Amino acid sequence: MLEYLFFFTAPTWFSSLPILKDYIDPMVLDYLVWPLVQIGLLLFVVLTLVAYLTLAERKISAWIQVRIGPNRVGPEGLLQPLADGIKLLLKEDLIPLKADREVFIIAPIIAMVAALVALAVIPWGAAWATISNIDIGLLFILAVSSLGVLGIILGGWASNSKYSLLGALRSAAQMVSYEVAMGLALIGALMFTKTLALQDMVITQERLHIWNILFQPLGFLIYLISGIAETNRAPFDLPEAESELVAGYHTEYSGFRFSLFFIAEYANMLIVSAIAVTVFLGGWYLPGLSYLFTPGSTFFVLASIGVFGLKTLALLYLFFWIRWSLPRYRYDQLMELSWKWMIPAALANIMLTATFLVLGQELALIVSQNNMLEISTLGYVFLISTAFIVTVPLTWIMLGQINKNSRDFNLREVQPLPMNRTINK
Amino acid sequence: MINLFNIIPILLQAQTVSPSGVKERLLEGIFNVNINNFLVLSGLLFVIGVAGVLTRRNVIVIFMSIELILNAVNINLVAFSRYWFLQSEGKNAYMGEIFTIFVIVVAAAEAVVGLGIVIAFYRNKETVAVDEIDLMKW
Amino acid sequence: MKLVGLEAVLFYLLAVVAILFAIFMITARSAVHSALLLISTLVATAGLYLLVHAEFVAGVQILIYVGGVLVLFIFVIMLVNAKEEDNKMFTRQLLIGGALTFFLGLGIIAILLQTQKGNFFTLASPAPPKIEQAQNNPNLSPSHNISQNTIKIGQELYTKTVLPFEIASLVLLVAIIGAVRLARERKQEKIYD
Repeated sequence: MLEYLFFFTAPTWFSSLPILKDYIDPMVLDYLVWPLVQIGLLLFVVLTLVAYLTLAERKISAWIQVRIGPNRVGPEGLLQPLADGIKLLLKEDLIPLKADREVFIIAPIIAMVAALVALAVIPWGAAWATISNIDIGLLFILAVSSLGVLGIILGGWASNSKYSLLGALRSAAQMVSYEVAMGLALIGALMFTKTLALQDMVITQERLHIWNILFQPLGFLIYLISGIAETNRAPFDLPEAESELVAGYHTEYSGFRFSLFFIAEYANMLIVSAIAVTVFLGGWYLPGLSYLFTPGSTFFVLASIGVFGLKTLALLYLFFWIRWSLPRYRYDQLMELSWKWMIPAALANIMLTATFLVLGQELALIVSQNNMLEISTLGYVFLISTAFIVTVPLTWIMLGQINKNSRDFNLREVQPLPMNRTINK
Repeated sequence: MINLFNIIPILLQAQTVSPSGVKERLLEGIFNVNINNFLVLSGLLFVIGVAGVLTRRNVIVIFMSIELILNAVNINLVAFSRYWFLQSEGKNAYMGEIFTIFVIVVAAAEAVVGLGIVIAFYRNKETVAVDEIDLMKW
Repeated sequence: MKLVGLEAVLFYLLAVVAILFAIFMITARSAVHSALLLISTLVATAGLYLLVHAEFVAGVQILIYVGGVLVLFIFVIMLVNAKEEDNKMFTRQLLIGGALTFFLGLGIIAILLQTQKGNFFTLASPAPPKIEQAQNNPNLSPSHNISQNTIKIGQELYTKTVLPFEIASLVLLVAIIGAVRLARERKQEKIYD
């Protein structure tokens, strides 16, 4: 059973370590010890990264607003996350008297676990840098991140406070809406990679020598916007809009439980960027990387991890940049963006991509065999040019025309009915 | 010294010899999980779901019990799909799983319409208890 | 199909979790607790699907059931916010319902015993998996060497069962329209019509 989970076995430098080699069965080493080492390392790195993301966010926001930012704890404020963590741990752990105790305690744990479990299938680098390359990788991540919604909703409900409940209701509607757009946006890329396993997606892009974003500019755009909405970040941070709802779903949370929600939010950001990198930006693949190092060597794997990390950090910077640049959406605008723009655009993207793929096969520019695509040089030109010249503008114009005549989601504005309409009826 | 780590591969590959007596066969059936274990599990979940539908007062909990019943059926379908996959060596092997997907789709549709009815009803009568829904009774 | 060793242990763990939480679900006072317990049962079931190598169905189960349907349930529970149920959980027909379920359970067990006459729990175990052993085929991508569940389901879904697939999408469309029509308020109808 474990063979199904851990396909990439331990690297030779690890399994030939003298202490391990003499005392432990090689099978146990491959399927138990090495994954545990990977998981421990990953958790350490990710949790540290999450802590420093909070610092990065504060520093970047300070830079954008021409302030200095935290600079008291440690050199240039580098120990600030540590101080924050200690402060949160030492704070009083409050549970409101009227709260639903069990659910109140479980909710942040659900959010946190859902965020951390999804890290397991992400291909952090080539070969042994992956923990697990399961057959349903992308589906697994979508499924697990949809569990994260539950943590937010239940936390808001269990607090028994009107601000929390409003935040929870908002986030439920928002995240369910954007999940649809997010899933549909990924399908276009799946047509090129022909697999759900994330490591295989990167391998396919390496084999085709291309990043999927060139085939799927529209899909990437939709995915990115839905991803920001999924993680409740500004400009879609209505579930925790501080000017309306105090702090939204985590109004009543304090101390350690609050920090669990906080870590979950930043870990979700990391996951969304990592998926975007894997599916659209070529994962750890960088043209020319295999010339610098021999593929499969330890240095190659380390370099691939570095490439993946750099791409992910660049996307995370985009998240911060957007947050500190754009104002918050109104709720009906948010829903309109999802149901009137993102989902139809994603559907149009699927349709047009499939059409061009079939057309390319008819023109013998693309060959599909053994569940793999073979694309000729002209095929690349065809697919990329159609994606940029046809798919994006066509979808834009079409949706603009359709939405011009559709009604506003905001019911307040419509209330004074024009007289001639009622007479005509 | 016995190495504790080396017990796990033995656990992973444990196989029992084919038994003879009734008692051994029963024990073998319990420790070697077969399709029957899945059938029993699914039957139990089904009965629990039916109990929920017949006894609870809250419409939403009744809906959830219906989901539980459908889920029990899904376990059966998937287990038989796997069984047939191994018996037929891959011919028509995935029909059970595909049927499960259809069941999930229909369950989603049913839940959506049902909850729509619940909301419409709540708006009129301010309750979700099935006892109170008795306008058609004389 | 035969699960032994660690897999059998996992089966019993998941089965016990599923059944216990199902029982707690139908006896929970608060509807939100019921939903939470049902989620646990569904996740345990997804684990069972993984045990029999139905990975795609397990993913779909969590994505649609837990992420979609159950979130919708919780959403509606919050909207209607039914607190008055706390003093009276069961209908007047509790005894009749309980008796009916009891007999149903007996019937199911009887049928199971009947079909497996004398062979209860020990059906001959079928041939070992030949198809999906790790093949190390260089023509396939790494994960397809491990399991081809997703790709096979995709192929069969879009070739053999196209008609049911289309009908399912029609059912979903009808459900969407029906739900919107049912859940609209009078006031909203006036504005829109």
